Amino acid sequence: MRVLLFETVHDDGLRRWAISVADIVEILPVVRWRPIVGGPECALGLFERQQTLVPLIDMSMKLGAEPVTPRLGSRIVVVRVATAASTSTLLGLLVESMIGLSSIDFHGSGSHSGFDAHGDSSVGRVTTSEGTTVQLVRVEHVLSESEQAAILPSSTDEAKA
Amino acid sequence: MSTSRLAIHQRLVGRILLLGLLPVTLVVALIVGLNAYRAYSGFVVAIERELAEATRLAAAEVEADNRAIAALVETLGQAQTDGGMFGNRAETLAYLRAILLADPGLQGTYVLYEPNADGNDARALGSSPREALDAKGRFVPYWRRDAAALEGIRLEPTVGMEDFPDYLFYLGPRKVWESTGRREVLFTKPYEYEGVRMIEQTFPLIRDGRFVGIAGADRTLDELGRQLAQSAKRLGGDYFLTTTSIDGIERYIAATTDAGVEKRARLETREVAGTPLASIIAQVPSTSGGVKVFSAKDPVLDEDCFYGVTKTETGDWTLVVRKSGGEALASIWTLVLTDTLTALGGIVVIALLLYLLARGVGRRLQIATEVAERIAQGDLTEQLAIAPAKDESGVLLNAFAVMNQNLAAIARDTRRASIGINSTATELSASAVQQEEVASGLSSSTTEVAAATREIAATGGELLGTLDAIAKSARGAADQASEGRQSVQLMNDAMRRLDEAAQSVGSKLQAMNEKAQGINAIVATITKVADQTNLLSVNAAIEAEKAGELGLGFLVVAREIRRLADQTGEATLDIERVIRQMQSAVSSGVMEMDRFGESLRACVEGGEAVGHRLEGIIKHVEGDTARVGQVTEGMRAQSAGVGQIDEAMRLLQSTAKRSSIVATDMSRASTALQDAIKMLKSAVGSFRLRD
Repeated sequence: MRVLLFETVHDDGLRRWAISVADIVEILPVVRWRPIVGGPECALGLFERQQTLVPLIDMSMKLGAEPVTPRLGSRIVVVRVATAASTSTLLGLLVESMIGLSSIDFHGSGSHSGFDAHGDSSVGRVTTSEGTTVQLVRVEHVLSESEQAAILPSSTDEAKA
Repeated sequence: MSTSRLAIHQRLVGRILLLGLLPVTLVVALIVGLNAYRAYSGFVVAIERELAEATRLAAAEVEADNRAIAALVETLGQAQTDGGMFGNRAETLAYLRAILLADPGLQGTYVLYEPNADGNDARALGSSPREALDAKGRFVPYWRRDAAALEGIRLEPTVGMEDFPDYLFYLGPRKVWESTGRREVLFTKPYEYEGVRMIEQTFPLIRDGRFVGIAGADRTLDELGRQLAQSAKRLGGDYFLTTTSIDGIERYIAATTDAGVEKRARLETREVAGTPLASIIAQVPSTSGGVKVFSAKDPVLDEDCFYGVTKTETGDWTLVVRKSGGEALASIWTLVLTDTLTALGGIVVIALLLYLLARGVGRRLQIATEVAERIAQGDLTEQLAIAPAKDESGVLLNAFAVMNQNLAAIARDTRRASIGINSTATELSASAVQQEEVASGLSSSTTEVAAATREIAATGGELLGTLDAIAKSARGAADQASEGRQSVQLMNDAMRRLDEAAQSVGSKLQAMNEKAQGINAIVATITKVADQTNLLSVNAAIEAEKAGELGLGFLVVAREIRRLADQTGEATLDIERVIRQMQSAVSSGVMEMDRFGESLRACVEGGEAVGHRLEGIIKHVEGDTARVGQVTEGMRAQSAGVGQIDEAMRLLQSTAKRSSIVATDMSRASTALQDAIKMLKSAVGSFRLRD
């Protein structure tokens, strides 16, 4: 499948992750965002995209690394997620270091389920590509249900809008 | 193709009408035909029965008349022979007269004796009325009707009893008696006598086994014809009566029509043979009493007729009754006409119902066909008015409506997607132009940088020369230190010049540092552009992925752009590093120059003291020479750094050139992408959507 690769910085080195191109709406440079306090830890705040406020999530924190330090290779990956509460909404994922696009077969020989027995984990299958392990990030499960309730706009909000 | 352009036999209405009406019409036609046939059979049976009855009745009337006259004649004869009236001529005349007056159906009555049968012939000539006798006194009285006579009757002598054997009225009974011994009434052949057509019934007078004469009565054929006409009037049909007399020839007695014999010619008394009806009359059954009924083509009327023929018991006459088939079948035709009209009315009603049904179904199908045609032409604007789905056609229309909505939604989505791609392509195109501008800006900046570096190099060379001069001066000072104070003054001047030169070097180095910072700013811009290009290329690649096959070509271009952006990034990193090195070299040079200037100033201030202590000065000068050597070294390093900058600039220029080419390629690619989008739009645009 076609994926976007990015890396997070951990104490023991870099880890490589993949997001399916099909989920991606757009890739933005790191723009200024308005921090929002009181939300989940990983939710950095809101930024404006085409006159719409989009929640911004720190992917490094989500994936168990130190919070993102924006640098030249840092990007905001805008994805479309479908959740139970709302039909479809946009989410901005701040990634530490974007690598680029690649084709990776997550179901070929040498791949692993990634301990995701129930299919509801935020990360999915693991495989090896170019001498590095790559794990698939499943954008529809990036946020837990409580986080979704806090971050994503509810259907009633949309109705009011 | 519109359904209205179809021929009627191809349209649903035509087919339903054909399939519905054809069998109904066939069945109805069959029923009407069978009915007509059955009615015809029944009518034929009925008409034959009726004809047989009419024939029997008419024959019975003729038979009754014949029996009555036969009985009369027989009584007349028996009164002569058995009643003792034979020879009593006056009584016989009175009797004959009374009978004729009593029965208006008779034309005449008579008793004829053989010559002198009663032996009174000679005597009678004197006494009896002459009208009853022949010339020799033979008793031959004949009472006959005469409208001119008193009481309407008159007496006259009978003539020609033996003269015309073929009349047979006299000789016939004698012949029968002599050949068979039977005493019976003989019906003679019809004939005309003095303008009156008649037939005679005669009875032989037998005395003592000897034929002595006859008794007889006449009937006019006109009277028989009247009676027959009454039967015809009562029972219907045409009637013909014939007799075959003792000579074996059959003749007509009476008829109610002329039966095809030429006009005005009376049929009565004519021989049957040779007349058109002979073949029909020949069908008579040989035994009396039976009636034969049959149909045949009538030779006179030239049409199918029904015939009833029979024979009377008395007189052995043949009666033929004829009825026209056309008349008989007229009622059947009326029945068939009524049936046909009723059936046609029913068929018209069925056709109307079928037409209404077919038109209803046909209209829905036509709506569906029109909708399908519009969809085929790409027109999805029609909001199909969904009729209530009462039957399959309604369901079909519903399905069409749903299909139409789904197609419209797909087309709308595709159009929206194409608009998104189009905006991306436009952005890309704008970026390419921007990149091209930046590249050209970069090129001019690098040219500027190259000029600045050349200037730095020249300054460096100048500086080196100056330093050489300083060294020379220092050496001259050292040489001249021993020459005394004058030389110290000279040295002071030299020192001042050196200070000025050093200050000049410092300001040049400062200018170079500023230029290097300007380069840094440009490099930062290049880095930013490279970064944005990288971002754009990734986004373009993602859009190209989503565009599928249409984006494949563009995907390759996007990858190439990304690679070049990466190269640009790497080159800028190199430039950054080189400039950083150059800046550190310049900084150390400036520091050295500052320190050198301070030393020089200290030297100038202490010139006098130095003059006094020349050795010390010489030592200082020597130390300064060493420092100049260090500066020279620093300058050399700086010169080398400038060379590296020059090289980096060349690399940057070539990169900028390539970036410009790539930007042009990108512009071309975005035009291709826009063309592709235009194709996609026109493909989608062929669908007309309701907004």
